[in-house]
Amino acid sequence: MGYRGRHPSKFQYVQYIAGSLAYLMLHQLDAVGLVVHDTRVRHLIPPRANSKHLLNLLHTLERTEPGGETSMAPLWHELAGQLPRRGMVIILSDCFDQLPGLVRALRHFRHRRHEVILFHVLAPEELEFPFKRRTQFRNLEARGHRLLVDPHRLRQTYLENFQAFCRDLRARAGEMQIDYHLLRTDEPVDRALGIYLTKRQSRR
Amino acid sequence: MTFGFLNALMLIGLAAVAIPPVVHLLTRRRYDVVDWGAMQFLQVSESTRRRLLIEEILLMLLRMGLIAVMVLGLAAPYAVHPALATLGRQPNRDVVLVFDGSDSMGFAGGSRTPHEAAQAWATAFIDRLAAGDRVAVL
Repeated sequence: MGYRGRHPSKFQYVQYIAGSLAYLMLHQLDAVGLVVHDTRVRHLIPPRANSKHLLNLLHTLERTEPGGETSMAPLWHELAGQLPRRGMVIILSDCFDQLPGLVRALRHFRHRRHEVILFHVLAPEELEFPFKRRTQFRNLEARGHRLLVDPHRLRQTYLENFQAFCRDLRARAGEMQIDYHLLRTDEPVDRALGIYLTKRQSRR
Repeated sequence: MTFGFLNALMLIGLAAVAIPPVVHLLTRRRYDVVDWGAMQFLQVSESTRRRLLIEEILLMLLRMGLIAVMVLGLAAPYAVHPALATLGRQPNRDVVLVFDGSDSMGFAGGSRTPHEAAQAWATAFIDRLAAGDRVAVL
């Protein structure tokens, strides 16, 4: 999530979104919790509804830094078991993991009767792959993992793989009645907020 | 069979064939660096990787080949051999056609008279002459 192109890093982007959503939710008198994780859970704030809670959440968001290699599927799966009450789970992630594991974790959330909104946060460079010159891609999440490629020739393969992944994820989420939304970091943040508010409205 | 180069000194230019590999080696050091998150989608299968490598090598050989062909052309290769005679430009010739004008050429025994046969042959022969050849008819 630390990838930064010409726009805010994905991590910064979700910081904004998470903070704004927390504000909106507390304004609607919903209890809001927060989980931040990389290789393991870094912060877990249980849902509360009071006004000081917002400060706590924002403070935590501010302090967090993007972390190491993440296999998010097992973590999500475990979290699904730990959340005490039925509620709305909003996931902000680039979902760069193996699809079967992700689907299993998402299914676990649904099994526990949570409503799930999956915000798939991606950078425009990841969606379009505009690299032209020879580039060494260094894995942000695993130091030492590097690939030196000529992007011109790789672009086709990359786009096929990437788009297939996004399509599959969207399809599997749809099958489980999970709201899937693709957010680009060059889009204004309020798009995500609008989506949340619409979903909230439809529940009433 | 003898062959050689009219402009043999030009062959020194064959050293230029080394230019594409040298350029490749020099620019290999230079690349952009990107800290990237979506590594899993950059993985290509072994067969694709091999295909890309073969294409790169072929392109390199093509570039070297083009330079070599150009240098060899400038060096003006030649070959001397009887079998190659028909390939080159024939020198112009002067041709004299002598027609027998005696009465025996009017013999009407076959499908046509010898005179007519001679005319047909001569016409065909003249058609086969190259531009620049000269013909006289007696």
